[in-house]
Amino acid sequence: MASPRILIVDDEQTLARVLSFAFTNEAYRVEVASDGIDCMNKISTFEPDAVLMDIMMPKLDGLETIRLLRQHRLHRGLLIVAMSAKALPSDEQAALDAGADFFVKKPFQVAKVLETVLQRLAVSRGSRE
Amino acid sequence: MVWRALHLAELFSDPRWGWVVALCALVALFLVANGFVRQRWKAMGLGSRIHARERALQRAQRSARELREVQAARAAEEASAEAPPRRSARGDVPSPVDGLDRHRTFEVLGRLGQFEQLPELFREIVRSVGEEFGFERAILRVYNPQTRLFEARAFHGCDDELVSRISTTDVTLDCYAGMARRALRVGSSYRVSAADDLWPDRLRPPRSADPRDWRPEDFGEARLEAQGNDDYLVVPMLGEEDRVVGYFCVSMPEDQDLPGENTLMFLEILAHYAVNALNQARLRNRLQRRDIEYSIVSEQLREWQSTRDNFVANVSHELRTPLTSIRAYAETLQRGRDAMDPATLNEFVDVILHESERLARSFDDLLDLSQYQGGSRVQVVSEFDLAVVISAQANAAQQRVKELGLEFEFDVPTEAILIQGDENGIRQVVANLLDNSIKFTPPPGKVTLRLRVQGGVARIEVEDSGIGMEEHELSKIFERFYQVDDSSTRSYGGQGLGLAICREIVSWHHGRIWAERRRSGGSRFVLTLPVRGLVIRRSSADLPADVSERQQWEAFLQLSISLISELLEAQVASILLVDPVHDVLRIEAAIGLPQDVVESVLVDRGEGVAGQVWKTGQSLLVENLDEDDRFRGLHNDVAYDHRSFLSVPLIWQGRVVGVVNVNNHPEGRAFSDDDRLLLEALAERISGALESFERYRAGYRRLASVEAGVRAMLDVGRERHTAMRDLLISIGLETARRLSLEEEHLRALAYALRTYDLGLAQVSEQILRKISPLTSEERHHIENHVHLGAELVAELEPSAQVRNIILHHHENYDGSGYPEGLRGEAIPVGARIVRMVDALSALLHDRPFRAAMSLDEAVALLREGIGRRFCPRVAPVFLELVADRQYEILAAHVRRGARALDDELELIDAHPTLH
Repeated sequence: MASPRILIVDDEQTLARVLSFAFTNEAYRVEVASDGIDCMNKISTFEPDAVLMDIMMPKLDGLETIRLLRQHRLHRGLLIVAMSAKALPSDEQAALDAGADFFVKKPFQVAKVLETVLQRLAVSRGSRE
Repeated sequence: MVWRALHLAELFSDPRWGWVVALCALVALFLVANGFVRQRWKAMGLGSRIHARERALQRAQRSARELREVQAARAAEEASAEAPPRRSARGDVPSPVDGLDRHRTFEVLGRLGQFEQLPELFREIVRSVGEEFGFERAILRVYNPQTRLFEARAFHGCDDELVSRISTTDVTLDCYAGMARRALRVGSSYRVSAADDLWPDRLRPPRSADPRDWRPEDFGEARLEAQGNDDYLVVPMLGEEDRVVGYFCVSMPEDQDLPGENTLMFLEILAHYAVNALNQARLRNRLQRRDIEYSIVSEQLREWQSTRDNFVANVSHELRTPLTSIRAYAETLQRGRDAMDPATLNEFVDVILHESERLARSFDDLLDLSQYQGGSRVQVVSEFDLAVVISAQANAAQQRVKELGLEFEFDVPTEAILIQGDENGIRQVVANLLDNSIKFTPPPGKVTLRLRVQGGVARIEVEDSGIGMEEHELSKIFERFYQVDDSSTRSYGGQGLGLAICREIVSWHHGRIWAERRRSGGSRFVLTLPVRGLVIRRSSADLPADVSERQQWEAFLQLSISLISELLEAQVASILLVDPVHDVLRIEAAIGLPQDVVESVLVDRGEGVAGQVWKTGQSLLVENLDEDDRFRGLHNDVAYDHRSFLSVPLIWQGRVVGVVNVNNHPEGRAFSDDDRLLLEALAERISGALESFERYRAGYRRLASVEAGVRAMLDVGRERHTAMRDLLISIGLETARRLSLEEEHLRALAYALRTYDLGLAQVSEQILRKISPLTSEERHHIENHVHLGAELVAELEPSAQVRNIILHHHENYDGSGYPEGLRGEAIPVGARIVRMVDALSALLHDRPFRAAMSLDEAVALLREGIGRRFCPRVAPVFLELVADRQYEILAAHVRRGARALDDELELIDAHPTLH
């Protein structure tokens, strides 16, 4: 089984760095994008299995990026995990409405995010096979 | 009945029968009388518990009985006088004696029930009275406690002319009492005869002593409403505790029989009906007004609430972000510590430390911000050299910038740039801007710090070649924490609350801060601060040679210019005097202008704003230079980025000797006509002082006295610019305009309104703050403040006007005030206006011995004082303006703080009990 690919999209470089470290340790192939535009640029060449998407970002914010991704046929099955420090119930709902698979409130437990992504990927893989 | 019984007895010729019958009759008489007394007793003793209608019924029955007796007596009189037959006014309309049967009674009442609006209801009542009872005319008057008059509200059977005459006839309480006292009382109503000499104690003196010259108008109500020779019936509308809240009045032509029992009863029931409707309407009105007030207050609350919600949400975001990193790094460290190479381990620990610091800084910022906003931060205001502060910041940043591999350039002038303000605050702002630029500029970029002074404004620029911002983000970044942030785009991630605080600090200094996009990439943050430096022309040719004299002159100019800029909140102010030798205007002193401008500007007659004022001798008020056609294309040397101008001449002995200019920033408030009046008033005093100064030079006067006057006024300008004060002053001036006061008086008032309580500053705080009753000596001290105030301004007064306004602003209209106990129109009208402003202002503010009142309560109290404390000519105009602008006042009231808001809410909470 080829190692899963994850794209981490966050303008907060320190956080992207540690997430990248954690996923790499779990044998993911990781790419980092610093905003929505960067994400759109990288997604077609990198072809990730999952995207960790921050919401508050410059240029193109997370919600818009998710919507754009979901419009594209190729990315409809993509696992998208939205994460945000804006953590009101309405913020979570907005992310889910935009098309995120689930929402993680910052600050979060890295292990839990790893676990969730792993599980979800296994499920979608299982269903695909 | 008794007589009839006796009469019957006579039919029996037998004396025995006669006695028996007579005895029976006596017993019957006793029983009837007894019953009557008992009923009376009941009516008196238990009256309060009997339902109103029942009471009305009993009264009506009684009245009817009494009326009949009168009627009988009158009929007998008339019969003997053999009066000629009288006209019958109505055809098939039922005569009042017909009254109403029960069915029609209910019909009428049912119909009245359909009318909710008072005017309609009143109209319907008088119409019913007229048409159902057949009275020719009916008028309904309602007592208005504000005017203390019975005002006509509805008419039946009156032509337009009569309506207008009746409407304009004042029926005072005394008139009513006269009517009620004199007339024959029937139940609760009064039957008034046209023949009665009703007005022996009429309010207005007759036109002449000869009764033949008296006209109907002289008799006011009586003749008018009776119209000719008709008698009329006055049916009072009785409210709580039988207070008369109004009455209706129906005419009874002489040929008519007196109203029957039912009619009278019904009229009184209608009166009750009207009273109830009136009460209901008043209640509805109050509730409606409360509703409006409530909606305003709640709107404001909502605004605050949403600001606070956003603030909390945004702050929470700002705190969560570093916390997220800290947690993620710590967790990753914990799990993978053993497998980590030392470099990564160190890196992780460093990040944790760094992010912790960032978190701590956010907390500091948060506290700072809340202190600035809450006004609780102790700003140490001092004069400091901005150039020194900026240079220090530049030096501190230089090292750090170099380490980061960035280029750093700074350009700070060497000469001192003195500004008044909170040095620490400004240092914090500059540090913050520098931090931002450094943070968002990747190497090998460049950061530039610049300071220059331009047109009375210090301009600090922090430029970088960093990542830059989108156009639409530029204005938002300062407001991140104040507005609903619908976009979740964050371009300046992690800058904390910094910019929001910067904005608070800068606006506290009356400055501006904004961000620009550089064409070459990167951002430019610009911060402007007014250099409130006071500049006096050095090169003055006619400066006194004597050093101490020169100092005095400068002190005078300094005081005058400060006074002007303080009182008018002007960012730029200048005094220009005519140089008679060269026939030009020169700036003698200025605030907010650089020295070189002050030294070099020469204005020719007719040139620019100041030149035109010089030429015409007329003030010029320009609210917005851009929108004013008169100044299209006109570029004043000292205009810079100011848009609102006010320029008034200094006139001495009919000649323009100079010009006073004030300018305001486009972001500041535009000058108004109220400001024009105030500046003209100030100009008069400055001209006066110039004269004093001349006299001083000539040895006639002590300069110290001139100075004391100006200095005292300066104190007034300080701290007194509150929304409420400005609003009340503006209402005071508008009152004067409506009363058609002349310009000269308006000007005096504009000045007095700012200075009237100057004297209070001299009264000991201890007395002012005292809660317990004042001793007579203490009272004397307080009352003396009007003298002190008047003396303080007196030095510079061109006339006694302002002095008199200040001296008499505690006189009462009825002569019970102080200091001289003037009465009525003898009190200067300006003082009477100031009296209102002062009273309302006092009631709306907390006092040591009582809390601030709500606007409603305050207005009610003022209204009560009309005629006693307040002038009946001034007060209604003032109160009308207050009513017009009540929501502004309310808003200012609310803005004064949570306390006032609580009061309002308490009142609103109390409403339901009104139901």
